[in-house]
Amino acid sequence: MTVVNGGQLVCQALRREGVTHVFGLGGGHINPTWWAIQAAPDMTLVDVRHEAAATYAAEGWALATRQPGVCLVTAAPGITNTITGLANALSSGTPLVCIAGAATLRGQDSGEVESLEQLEVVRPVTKWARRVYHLERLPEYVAMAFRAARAGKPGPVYLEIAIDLIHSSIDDAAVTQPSLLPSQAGGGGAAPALIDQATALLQAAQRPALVAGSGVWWADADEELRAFVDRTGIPVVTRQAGRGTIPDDHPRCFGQDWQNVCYQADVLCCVGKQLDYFFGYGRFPNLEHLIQVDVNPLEIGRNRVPVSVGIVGDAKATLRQLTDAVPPLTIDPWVAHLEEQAATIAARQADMAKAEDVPIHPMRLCLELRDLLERDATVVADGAFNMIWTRAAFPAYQPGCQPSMSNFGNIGGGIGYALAAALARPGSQVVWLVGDGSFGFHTMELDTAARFGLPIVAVVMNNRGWSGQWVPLGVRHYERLAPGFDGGGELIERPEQIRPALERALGAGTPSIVNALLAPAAEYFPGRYLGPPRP
Amino acid sequence: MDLELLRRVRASLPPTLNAGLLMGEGGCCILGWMLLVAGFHEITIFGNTIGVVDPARGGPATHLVAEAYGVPLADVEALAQLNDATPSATRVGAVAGRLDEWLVGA
Repeated sequence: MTVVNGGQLVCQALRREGVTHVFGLGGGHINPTWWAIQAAPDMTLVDVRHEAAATYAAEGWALATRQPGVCLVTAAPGITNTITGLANALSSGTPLVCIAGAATLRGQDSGEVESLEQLEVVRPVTKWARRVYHLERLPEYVAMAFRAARAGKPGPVYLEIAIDLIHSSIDDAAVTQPSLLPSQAGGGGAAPALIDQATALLQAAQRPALVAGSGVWWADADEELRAFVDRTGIPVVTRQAGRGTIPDDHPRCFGQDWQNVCYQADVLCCVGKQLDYFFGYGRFPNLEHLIQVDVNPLEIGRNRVPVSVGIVGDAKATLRQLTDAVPPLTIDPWVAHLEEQAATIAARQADMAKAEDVPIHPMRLCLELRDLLERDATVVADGAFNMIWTRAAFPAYQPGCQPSMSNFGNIGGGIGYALAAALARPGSQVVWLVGDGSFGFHTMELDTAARFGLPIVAVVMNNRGWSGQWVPLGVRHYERLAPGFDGGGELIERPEQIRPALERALGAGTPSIVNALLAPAAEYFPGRYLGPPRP
Repeated sequence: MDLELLRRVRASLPPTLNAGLLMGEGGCCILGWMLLVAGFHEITIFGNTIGVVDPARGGPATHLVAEAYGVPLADVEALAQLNDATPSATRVGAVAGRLDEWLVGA
């Protein structure tokens, strides 16, 4: 007879799911699980400094590897600290498994420490939430959690195990292991009639374009996307987790110029891209037909957007069908037009790259950094106004290399993404491009980076305030924090300082902070000229 | 043409205007400015640099400025081109001059 406790069962169940990294913060309610994972030779327990960072790192792991990220947090305050991260993952549709401790059932309403109706708290920010009541069913629930995180449109799931249960033991012969879902179970494609309709619309289009969203990444459909674009010659743009599923330097990829393409297109084929704020709600002025492919039926025609062909299907299977059906498109004038516009934008960027402005022009900073990065570098954009520049400046050459904050609108979690990327791709460059406001949220995770030997470069795009609200923060010497994390820090104020400082940071082998002083937000926020500051 | 709105724009022009991006450099091009004066919230011109993102009133910036101000689309496009083609040091003056022409001609 082999006796195992609840924590050991969790660890075994995670191993069966292929989990190698768990992000978490310890607490008495999860000790058995913590210790089991810590002792596992095939797993790395990444202990962070705040539970929110654990959720961001778990999401970042999924964004970097296509596998669900796992975070482990303690009860009550551990859970409430995760809420923003879970909501962010729900908004972006990222698979994440949050395993939590909980107070005992017996102690409910007794004033027991760390007691909270946790399921009620997490339900609005997860797609699935459960509590384990019986130890022998624990592996079954872990397996269910992973299936739920991956199924359909991915998202965060939550599983709680009370302290008395996790500490209890059982003969492992009494535990029935559930069967595993293959990691790429795949999904169905479209009905042939829908493929025929989509083919006819694309063939008749004068200005067709394809939008590859996060669904392409989660469906592992990179090769199918490339095959479809190569066969048809259709211009393609990529969005969110879809960035890099086809490289930006592919001759038909206009990845950074999606607005320009979508605003002119007459037929758009959107694959795995939700029609949300960051996609103009899918409303484009010259659009005659929208072909929409999504694994989630609720996304088809969202926001009352007229859809000519709506396909509820897996991106991988549907792109294969479309590749077989759609012949090479005759759209040379349209492609030439887009190439000309892309060249104009590139020329404008080249001018910005030479900007001698003091304070430093944000685009000059971004473009100098771009020139120092390898193709497999991870660029984590984090903030609000600074993302206007980062979105335009950094091409995506590989999937999973450009995680950025989601439609949820939260900021500061990018360091979690950076931690995960650095662990998932050891030896590759990882840059956290963060606004000075956002930098304040989870700066202590640079300590996590230092403890795990992750040479993340934090580039603070410091416009000295909260841009959107015209609230100054002043000049702060964030670079002085770096020695506390065993790294180097530099303040740069002039354009000629940018490149040497970035080169030193990228070559340091330790976490680094480059604090770049940009024009103060309070001097240029347009709202100030419309009246007094809002209360 | 909505003269009152146009006069407000002319009277309140910010000291600098961007070229091309609505809120890219932290400020606006003239289209962004006209949209803000017309009552569009900053958020609607934050996530998209050539259009307004709003489920009810969204669309290309040029179209919405033309609609909000009652100005022909071609004139709005010409104003945007003037904005983008004029060096930053003289951009506000050039745009102000064009707005003056509109007001005089109205």
